[in-house]
Amino acid sequence: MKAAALLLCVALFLSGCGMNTKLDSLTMTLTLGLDTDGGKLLSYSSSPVFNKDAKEHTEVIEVNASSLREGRYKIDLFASGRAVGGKIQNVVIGKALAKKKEIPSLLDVLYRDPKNSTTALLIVYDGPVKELMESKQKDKPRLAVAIKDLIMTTAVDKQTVKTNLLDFHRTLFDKGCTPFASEMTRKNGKMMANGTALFDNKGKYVTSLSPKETPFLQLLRKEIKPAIPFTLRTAALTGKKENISVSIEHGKVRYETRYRNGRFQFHVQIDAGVIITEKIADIDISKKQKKLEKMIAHEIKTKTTALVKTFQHHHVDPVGFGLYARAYEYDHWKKVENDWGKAFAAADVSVSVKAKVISYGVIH
Amino acid sequence: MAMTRIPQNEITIFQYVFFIVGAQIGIGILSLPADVAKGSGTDGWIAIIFGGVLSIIASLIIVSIMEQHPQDTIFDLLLRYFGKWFGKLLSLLFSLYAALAATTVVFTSIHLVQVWVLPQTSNYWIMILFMIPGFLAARQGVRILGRYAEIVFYMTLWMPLLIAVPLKDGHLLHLLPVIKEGWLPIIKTVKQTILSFLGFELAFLLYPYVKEKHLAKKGIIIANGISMAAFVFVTLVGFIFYSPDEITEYVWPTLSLLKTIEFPFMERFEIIFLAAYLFVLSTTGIPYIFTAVFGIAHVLEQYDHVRVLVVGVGLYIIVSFLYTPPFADLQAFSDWWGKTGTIVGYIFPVVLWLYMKLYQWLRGGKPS
Amino acid sequence: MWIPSSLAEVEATIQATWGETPDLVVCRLNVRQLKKDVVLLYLDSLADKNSINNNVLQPLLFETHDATNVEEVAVLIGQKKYTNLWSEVETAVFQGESVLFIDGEQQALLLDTQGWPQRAIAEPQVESSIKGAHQGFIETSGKNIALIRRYLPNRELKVKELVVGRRGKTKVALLYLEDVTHPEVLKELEDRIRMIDVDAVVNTGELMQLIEDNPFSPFPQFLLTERPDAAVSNLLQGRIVVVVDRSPSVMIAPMSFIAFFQTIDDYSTRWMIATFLRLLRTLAFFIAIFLPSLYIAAISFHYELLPLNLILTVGESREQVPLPPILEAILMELAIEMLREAGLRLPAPIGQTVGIVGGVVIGQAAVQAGLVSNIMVVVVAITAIGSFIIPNPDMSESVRLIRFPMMIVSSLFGVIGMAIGLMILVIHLACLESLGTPFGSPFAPVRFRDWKDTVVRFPLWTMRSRPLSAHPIQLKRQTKTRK
Repeated sequence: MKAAALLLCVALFLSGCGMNTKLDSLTMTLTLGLDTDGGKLLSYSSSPVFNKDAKEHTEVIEVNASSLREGRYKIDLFASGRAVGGKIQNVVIGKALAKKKEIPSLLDVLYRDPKNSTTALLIVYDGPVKELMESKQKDKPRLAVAIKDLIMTTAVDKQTVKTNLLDFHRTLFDKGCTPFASEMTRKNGKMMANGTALFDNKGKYVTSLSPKETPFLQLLRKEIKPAIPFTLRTAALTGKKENISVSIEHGKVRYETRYRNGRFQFHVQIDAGVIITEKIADIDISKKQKKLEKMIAHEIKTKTTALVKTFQHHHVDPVGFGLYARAYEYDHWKKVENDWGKAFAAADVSVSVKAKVISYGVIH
Repeated sequence: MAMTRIPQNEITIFQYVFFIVGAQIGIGILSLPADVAKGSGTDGWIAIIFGGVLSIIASLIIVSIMEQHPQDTIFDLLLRYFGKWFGKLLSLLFSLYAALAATTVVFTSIHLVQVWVLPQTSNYWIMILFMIPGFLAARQGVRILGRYAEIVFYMTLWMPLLIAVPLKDGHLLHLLPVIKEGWLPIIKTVKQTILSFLGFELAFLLYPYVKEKHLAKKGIIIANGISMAAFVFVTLVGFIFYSPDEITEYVWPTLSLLKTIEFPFMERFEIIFLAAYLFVLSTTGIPYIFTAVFGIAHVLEQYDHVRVLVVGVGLYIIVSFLYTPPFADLQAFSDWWGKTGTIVGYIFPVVLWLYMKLYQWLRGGKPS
Repeated sequence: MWIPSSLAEVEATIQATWGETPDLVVCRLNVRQLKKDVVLLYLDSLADKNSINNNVLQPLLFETHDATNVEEVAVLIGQKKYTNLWSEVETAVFQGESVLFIDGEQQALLLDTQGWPQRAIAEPQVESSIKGAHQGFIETSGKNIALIRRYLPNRELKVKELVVGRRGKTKVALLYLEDVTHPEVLKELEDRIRMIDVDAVVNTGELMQLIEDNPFSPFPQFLLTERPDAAVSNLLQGRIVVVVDRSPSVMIAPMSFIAFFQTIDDYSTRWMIATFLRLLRTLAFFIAIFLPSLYIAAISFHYELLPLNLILTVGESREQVPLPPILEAILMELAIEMLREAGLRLPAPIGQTVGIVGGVVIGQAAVQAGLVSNIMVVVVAITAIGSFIIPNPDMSESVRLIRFPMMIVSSLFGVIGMAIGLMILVIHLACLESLGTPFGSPFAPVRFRDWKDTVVRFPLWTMRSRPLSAHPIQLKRQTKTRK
């Protein structure tokens, strides 16, 4: 014990060990932005400033660099503290960049260095990233918190998805599905969540889903909790242009996989329990429940089928049909696993939906 | 003033079980899911079960060897059967094997700490830090090590729960179909799991100290069973969370898995986990250090092993000043440990058993 | 040296032995019973004058029946002893007894007339209790043994008396239940006490340090208590109670680590509440050791551990602090320790002032001056409260001490250093013994049956056997009386 104490004393005085990373002297990147401007890679870092004398409590640094790691060294030149990435909350990538480059190669450092956070949200930004990074919104908290809150709450409403870096990595490397991420844009000077961005299996941006389509992607991915809300037109029922809002509270999504005639066949069976959340149309629900249910089922079916068509058109599979193909038709899967997007495009996908209204709310 | 009137350098059957479990669960488990996935994809867990069965068989042979001379450790036994010089040579080899194992564990632990938690701290500081508890524990006898292994086992029971948290984001589909590519790759992968199961060969040293000797066989089966369950559990969690194509991307998938756990008051659980995992690593490293030191002291006919321990700890610290093993060297260490472990843990018991049978048969069936 | 038979020689010897002793009373009188002269000798300050006047002098002077030898002398004292050794006379006088020398007799009569200044039995000061008895031990071993005997009117309760110290001649009594306590443990303790060779043992705490298993351990290995009920409860678990004369606390040995976190009130409280309180103490133990070091580790190494909101708060609160976290923490911890020590030895009214000054200085001024961050103040305050919850003062002090090396190691190595620190503690507790019994029991070695009475407390009727930590030879303590 004595020897131990002595050693520690020596250690304390030499203090050669343990390069402290003192919290208040760090420039902690909370939001990392990546964009392109004519062939240059622009890297933005937004970090909190802990100083009363500073007027702004957020520091934004822009550098252009060939890679993120190099970018960090350059950021260090500007930052008052040591730049670290352990607390990154959001990684915002400009759509222009995502279209041009495969983003996994850009993000490599975030995965390789275990000090970096892998739970940061991955967001595709429709527009120049600079305007987002430098935007100051008086009615919102710090940028990083504001972006994160925006995406998280919108994802609960199913109008966008919540993809962190690790999710992206998992879906990217899984040969049976392709990655996707949330998308943001700015409208009237305010930032807003804007559906889902889809990537191919190399991690290059392919297309986007609108906020209205995204709930059905979530449905197909069995991400139903807490509820999937959507609105449908009741023209078929009343003959008028009226709406009714429903939300899928619980449901079962089953996949059947077969391999016939040289291609995969998927059958998706959706059993949805919905509640009526808003009724603008003048319908007596209790009398026309069966009809209404059929209509909801039809709506879900149309939307999901259209969605799958979109996926097939772009050779992407964010739902993960490939997982089922691998699990149940391994031998055939093995032949196409390296080009699943193409095989999926050729597959037959059929959807059948049963809907059941379980509650009308507390008024008739 | 350590005046002990109730001296019993005995360990209970539970301490014996947890001593072996502690020695088995160590650095292997962190990379095991990726290792077996390389060999046989998501069927790797079957290979682990095979590896477990093999290690149970080997440990049963070890216990039946030791049963013949219940008061002997392996070092006494070797002297008894092989004469002074050859016996000592074999004892020395066994100790060197333990030293290799200890070195692998210690340097890998340091590497883990440097990569995951303290990237800027030099390895000799961490070595000095690690050697303090190492010395304090290894200078004691088997009884204290048994107690330590036992309490650490209970202290670390929360860890599987933490590892299971990411399961909610996983897909069971990843496991299907079972036995994708037939049995051949699975059988080939069994070799990968051997390193993880090593630790049962310490029964060679422990057996004479066990109080309830009639339970020794049952105990070692349970010990191997617990380790096997832990390995299969961690591997399955890894497979369910990561897709089969992705898991091989990671060096230590188990730790990467923990990075995603976030609670409102604390994030980045892999740091806490790794710090707590040092306890688990210590129950692997310290018994091997003890075995090596004890064996060498035995060969040198020193009654007290502490002097040898001081030299050993000093060597570790000096080496760490001069040499920082790169990751490739650590893997070479592991390979060597795996290879020599196969000899010491699996082949040596069989040969020894046959030799003893022959020896006793030549002497007219009586144990010497 | 023998006692001389002639009174003149006796008086000369007294003069030689006690030259300058103003409180020595030598009283020569003629006894009618014997028709002889006698000398009565006692120390005024240590003897009870009433008792001497009424029970000794009166019969000697006025009793008329005839006595032929020493044995027949009538005095109104139950405890009479005879001796012919001068050294015993000396000892007796210093114990407050009176000695009666009779002319022409080789034997002297020792009369128990002790009566030294002593305090009334009062409520224990340090270990107060809500439901336990309100009698505490005092400075007289006889009274203390009496307090214990009141709980255990049982012939198996044995008292073994030893004398320690060349000058002090302290009476040390070992109390134990003969059919429960392990004889080897008792022998060990007795041997250790016999081996002590010092001038005097002033307090039980000194005796404890002289016979500890490991003097280099930060933890106390024996328990000191001033509560008779706590002593009895431990006696019943097969432990030995050591009563040291002139000391108001008794020592209990052998001890286990967890027993330092239990109070006698736990057994009088209903089991759920007792369990909750014990869990709270366990938590407090870990907080008191680890919270400041965790704070240091998080601020200086692992900012990643903290969620974003907390980081922003901590960062803002630390912005002005010029000191590195370790110095900030040590500064505050030392301030708290100083305050505590200052308050401890001061008379109560001034002690309160210290509290106010400390509260204002630490709570407000230090933060406003930008010397420390307010989060640090919160951390230090919680830590201090945590260490106060630990019921045993010795253990509480140990915990406060361990905190400092923990803080240093965590400022060097972060959580890794904390883990190694904890590892060293665990190894140390696994090695530590108390009278040769494992100190860490029932955790190291693990004895599940004894976990009923550790950080949890099972209902009393389920604890049917005595804990194994003291190696009791009689395990069963009660039968199953309810389901």
